[in-house]
Amino acid sequence: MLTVISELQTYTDGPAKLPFMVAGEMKSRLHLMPSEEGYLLRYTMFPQVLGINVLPSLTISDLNIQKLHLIKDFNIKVLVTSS
Amino acid sequence: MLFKLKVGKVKLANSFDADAEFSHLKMLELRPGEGDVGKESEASIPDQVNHFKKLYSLQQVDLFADLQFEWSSFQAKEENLIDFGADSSRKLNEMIACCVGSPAMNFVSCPILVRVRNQREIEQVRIHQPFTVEYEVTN
Repeated sequence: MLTVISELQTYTDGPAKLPFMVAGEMKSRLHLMPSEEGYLLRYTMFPQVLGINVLPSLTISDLNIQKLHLIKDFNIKVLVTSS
Repeated sequence: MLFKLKVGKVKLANSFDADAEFSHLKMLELRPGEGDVGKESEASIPDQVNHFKKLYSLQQVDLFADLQFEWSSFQAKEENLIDFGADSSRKLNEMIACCVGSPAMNFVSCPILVRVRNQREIEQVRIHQPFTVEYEVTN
């Protein structure tokens, strides 16, 4: 069993206005079992800026081993339009 | 049962006669100074270099050296009213049953993959309207 914590990183030193506001759980604690097929993390976001924006990066770290990132800065781009 | 283990001897796999090597080198060093002045030594400089290289290699510890261990075990002895100081519980070089713990294991070696499950739904979104991102984490 592997205990991990997933964190959706927010922008700390980016533009004054955040591209996205994140609702819901920011940190999730997972217990990954080898027999399990997978897990689903669901985040709800509010677009704040028009244009092509990068979602907050997803990082999954191991709780038992510090500074061990299983997934580091996974992100995707989203086109935010007004219509 | 308590037991202790210590290294008794270290025996190099490549056995050599160190005294013979040292005496030979010593003889080479003494030759230029002995006898007639100005007479060249019988040992040439390349020979001396080779002997020094050989000496240097002999000083290195061989990784495949045979290690001889010596151990002794101590068994819990019964309490006697009369103890003459003889340590009868100590037994030398007897077979000791022991076990070694398994090494630490983790599942980090198994890659964890992440993909966005609703990729098409979030390629284009509207401003100020909430949308949901679903990250699928698989072992």
